[in-house]
Amino acid sequence: MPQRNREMVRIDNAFEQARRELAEIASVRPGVERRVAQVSVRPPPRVFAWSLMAGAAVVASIAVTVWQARTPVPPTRPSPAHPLAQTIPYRSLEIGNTELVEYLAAYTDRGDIVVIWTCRGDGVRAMPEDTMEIPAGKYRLSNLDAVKLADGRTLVCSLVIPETGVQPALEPPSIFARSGDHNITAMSVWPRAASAAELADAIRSADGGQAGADVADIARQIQKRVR
Amino acid sequence: MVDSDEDLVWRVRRGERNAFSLLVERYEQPALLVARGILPSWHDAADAVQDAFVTAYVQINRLWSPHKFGAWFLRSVRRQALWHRRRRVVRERHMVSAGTDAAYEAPKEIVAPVDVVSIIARLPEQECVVVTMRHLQEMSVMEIARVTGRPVGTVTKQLSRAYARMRPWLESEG
Repeated sequence: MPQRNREMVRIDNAFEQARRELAEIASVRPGVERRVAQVSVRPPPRVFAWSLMAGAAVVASIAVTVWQARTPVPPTRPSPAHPLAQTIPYRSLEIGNTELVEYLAAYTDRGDIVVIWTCRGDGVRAMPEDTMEIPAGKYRLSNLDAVKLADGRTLVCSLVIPETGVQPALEPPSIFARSGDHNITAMSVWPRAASAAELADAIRSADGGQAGADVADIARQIQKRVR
Repeated sequence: MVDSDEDLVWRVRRGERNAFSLLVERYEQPALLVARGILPSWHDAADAVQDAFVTAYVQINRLWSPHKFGAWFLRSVRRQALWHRRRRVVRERHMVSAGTDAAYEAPKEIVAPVDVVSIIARLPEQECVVVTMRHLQEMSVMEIARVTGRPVGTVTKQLSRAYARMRPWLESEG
């Protein structure tokens, strides 16, 4: 290829000229050798040591990750509570020697309110003392059942019937207990929607395992009254 | 039998200063050309090359691939030359004129073939190595391949690429 040959000739000429110029320059070799004799080669960088340390760090982090993955993690969420735990007494009132504990206040299908509660104290009795209804503010109150428990408490299942137009959420009803010296203790309850199972659980919870209350019987009475 | 760069580097690492002298002999002229492409005089270029050789000797254990000594060293030369140029500029800026001295005779600057050195200085180090070995030291492609530890095909390819880069300059000369 003539073009390529021409290029080669030009390159050779250019380098020939450079070679001639370089021939006039004193070699740097003596100076380099003199200076090199006064210095020493630096030791190699500790790449191996650093690599070893980095590798060890990586292996350690992997080991920790694997160990953490295999270690059973304690549950962060609480385990499902026992059904009775859902009906634990969530409101109690203690005045003098009178103690009232509300276990559940639940709406019935008709809009009435069933309250499972207990009272305790010297001569303390739930009001009303029989199954008849008494007026209590904007409600009519009656007790479906009252069972004396072995620990001295009285488990009461009350039925509260609101007057027409009354909103229990805004105007909560109350339950009442009379002590031996005729003092009356009242406690407001806030009803909520609850299933029959929750109601049964509340009765069992109030009963405290003493089997003083017949859940089925109370449920039957509730059904009978609210029907 | 010509020693390869890799062999010489390993010998230097083992403490043989003679091996480094062989490397100096091999790369002195390419380095001078590269430095001259950056610096205004051969004298400055020789200083930069000398510094670059000493630095290369001290830091030869930092060279990861001994067979790439040529490219690594020319890169160092380029850095040294740039540093010398910067230093020279700073020195000239701070120079205070004290008048002319009749007895003082300025050293004669050798007129360099600036065109070829400038084009060499612009080539990538790998190509700079093969071109200078081929045309300045008149080594055959086989010898270049043996010295640099590269396959013959790679050397040929790098020469072709270098010629392609030099072509615009050749045409302007033409």
